[in-house]
Amino acid sequence: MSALRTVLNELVGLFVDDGSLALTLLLWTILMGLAVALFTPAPGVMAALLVVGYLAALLVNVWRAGRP
Amino acid sequence: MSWTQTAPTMAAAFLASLVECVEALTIVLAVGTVRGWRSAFAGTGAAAVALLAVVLVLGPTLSRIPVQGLQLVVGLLLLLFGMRWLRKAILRAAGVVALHDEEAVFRSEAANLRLAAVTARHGVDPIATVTAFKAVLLEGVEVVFIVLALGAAPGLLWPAAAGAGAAALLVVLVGLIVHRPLAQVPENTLKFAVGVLIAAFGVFWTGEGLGIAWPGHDLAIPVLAVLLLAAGLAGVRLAAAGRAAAAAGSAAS
Repeated sequence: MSALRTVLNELVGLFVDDGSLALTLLLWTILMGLAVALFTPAPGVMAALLVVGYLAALLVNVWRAGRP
Repeated sequence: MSWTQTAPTMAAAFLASLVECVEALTIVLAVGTVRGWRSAFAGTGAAAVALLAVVLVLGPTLSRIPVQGLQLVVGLLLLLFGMRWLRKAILRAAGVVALHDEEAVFRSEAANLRLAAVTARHGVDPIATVTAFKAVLLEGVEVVFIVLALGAAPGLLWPAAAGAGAAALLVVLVGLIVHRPLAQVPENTLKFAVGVLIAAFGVFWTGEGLGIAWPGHDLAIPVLAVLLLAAGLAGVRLAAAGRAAAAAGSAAS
């Protein structure tokens, strides 16, 4: 069982180092998915919003990490 | 499959695999130097066979999954994987987190192996073999994920596998010649680049999976890479500034 737990921890660790960044990225993805389903914006607007959201999440996260 | 997807796929797979193979080589070198090369090669070979089996089984299986669902799931995994690498590379470049030191890892692993009792049978030391097996398997799982994820689109599995294979071959050849941990490899720079590339693929495929139309289609990938690179460099400045402000604040108090 502990070997299985170790393997699972390793697998999760491939994708999640800082839980808050991973959660923010996933939440932004869900929001954008809802927006795409509900609205029909001009081409490129949703793409730009998706990218801006991800970049903002990264920048806020590293800024906060520099100030423990 | 256009070169705008094949070339970045091969490059990302090559660079990411290069980093993982260098880390695995450090452990294998420690095992071989301290406990014998037969054990080191036995463990490495067993792990390589296990990883190859995973690729051969999962690779074709992925092509049977509906494309849009696959793009979203693989895109999200690539996004999380790439952002994790990029975040860590940013913090290392900013001095918030210590740089990875292959020489230190080698010394630590070699010291641990010297302490463990030698129980060799037929010239193969089980502890050494398992140590090499675990190291190659753990680092190899990341390579396999990168190959499968980047190669999930039709026609990209072989370019991704070729990139990873080339990196593994290069590291093995250099390791055989140098016989030392490859501490001179600019690991953090490589991880920064890999984080940017993998995250760019992740953003692109997540968007495709959500039904978002990318201007220029495949040409959006290099544009995303440039934007992530710019954000990464800005992130280094932000993290360093935050660290300096925190240090100044504690010095004042």
